[in-house]
Amino acid sequence: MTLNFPNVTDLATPFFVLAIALEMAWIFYEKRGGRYEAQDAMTSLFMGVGSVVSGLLVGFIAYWFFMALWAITPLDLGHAWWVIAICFVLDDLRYYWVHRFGHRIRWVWASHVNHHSSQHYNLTTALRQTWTGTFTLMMIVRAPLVLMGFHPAMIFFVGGLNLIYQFWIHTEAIDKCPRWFEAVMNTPSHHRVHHGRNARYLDANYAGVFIIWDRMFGTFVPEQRDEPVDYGLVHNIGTFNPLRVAFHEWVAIFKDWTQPGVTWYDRWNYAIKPPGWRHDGKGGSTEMLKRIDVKRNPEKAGTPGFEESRM
Amino acid sequence: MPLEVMASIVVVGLLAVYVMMRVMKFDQTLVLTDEAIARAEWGADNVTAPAQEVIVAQSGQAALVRSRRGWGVLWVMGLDATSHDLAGADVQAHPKGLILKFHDFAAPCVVLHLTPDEATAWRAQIEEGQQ
Repeated sequence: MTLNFPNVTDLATPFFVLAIALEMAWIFYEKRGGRYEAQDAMTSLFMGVGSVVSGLLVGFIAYWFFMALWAITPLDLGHAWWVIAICFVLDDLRYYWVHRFGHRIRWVWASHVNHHSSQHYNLTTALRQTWTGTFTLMMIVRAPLVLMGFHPAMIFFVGGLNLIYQFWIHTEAIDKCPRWFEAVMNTPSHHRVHHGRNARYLDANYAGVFIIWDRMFGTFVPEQRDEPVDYGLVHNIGTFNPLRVAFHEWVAIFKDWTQPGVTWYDRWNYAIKPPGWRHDGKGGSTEMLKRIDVKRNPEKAGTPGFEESRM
Repeated sequence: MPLEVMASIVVVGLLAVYVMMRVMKFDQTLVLTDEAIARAEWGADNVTAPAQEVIVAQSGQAALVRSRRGWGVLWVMGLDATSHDLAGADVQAHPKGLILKFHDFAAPCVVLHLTPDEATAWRAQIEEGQQ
């Protein structure tokens, strides 16, 4: 069966541009609701363009992989609206785990880091997307959906809807949404936490559309009124060059692999351990940064993001 | 959507956003007006190595910072700042002051805006700190 779904991310492009213009105008006239800086924003936009180009160049790899799986699966759930709805929810669960791997496995982080490399949080940050996602091989996490009988075209379609949903949450112009919405859905407040480099906010709120996954799997941290989010990387990069933004962590992995005195087991660990791991034990970790923060601010112990299980 | 239509939207959109940012003066940069700001920016970027000594450039665009790891440099990037240790960096004269080359793909180099007297003093401090 051949299924045709629209490429929704392409169709949303004019909306993205318009929404960015509106957010900028809002911040300019209201003098609140976020920050823009020209070099940072243009880097984010060029990263977005590069991501689309990357998809055109190597996207066929994932497409062929899924079509090969589709050819061997005996299941076909069809394309009724409820099948699409279930596919959307399951694909969002898939997104949660790929995103979590993206922060806890350096090989995947090398692709995802560029999205966190801005020290700003506005709608252009949403477009600061990876150029190298295909090389993480995280497409494998989508394989069960195809084998369960969801058509690859449908999976790409719901994946596109997921990305579009995540665009609008990259803003400081919206404070909090209604309580019921904050309970179920990913929101600007929840996702601001995810982009924070404050120790409290590290490795939290991986959700794409539904924040329930973080609540279920113990990674949810609510935004705290008394601790504004400091955006960016734990140690920020020193360039606006999109090529360097896109590839810097891959280069760092290569340098770690080729330094003197490392074994093949060390090289394996440099790829699969969390970012910050070092073979000589001198590296850092999320847990270590949280412990340091609590040591300096004992009153934070046990508060959201500093529970015993996270340290 | 045809590729040429998509490409046109992207090009026009990028230009429009850039022009808007220039008109709205979203191209201004952070200024390290005092030591406290530099110290805070360094601390946020180097949680495990807080600043022990800070020398801020008169331009407010950079600072030399000593931490438990040795000397490092903090510099302004747009409205924000970033930092790098000086170990292994090459320092050279530059019309605006000094240029530091870090041999780091994620932070290749930085031009430090310094007065002639500062450039001389900073170069001496950097080279002394690397020994």
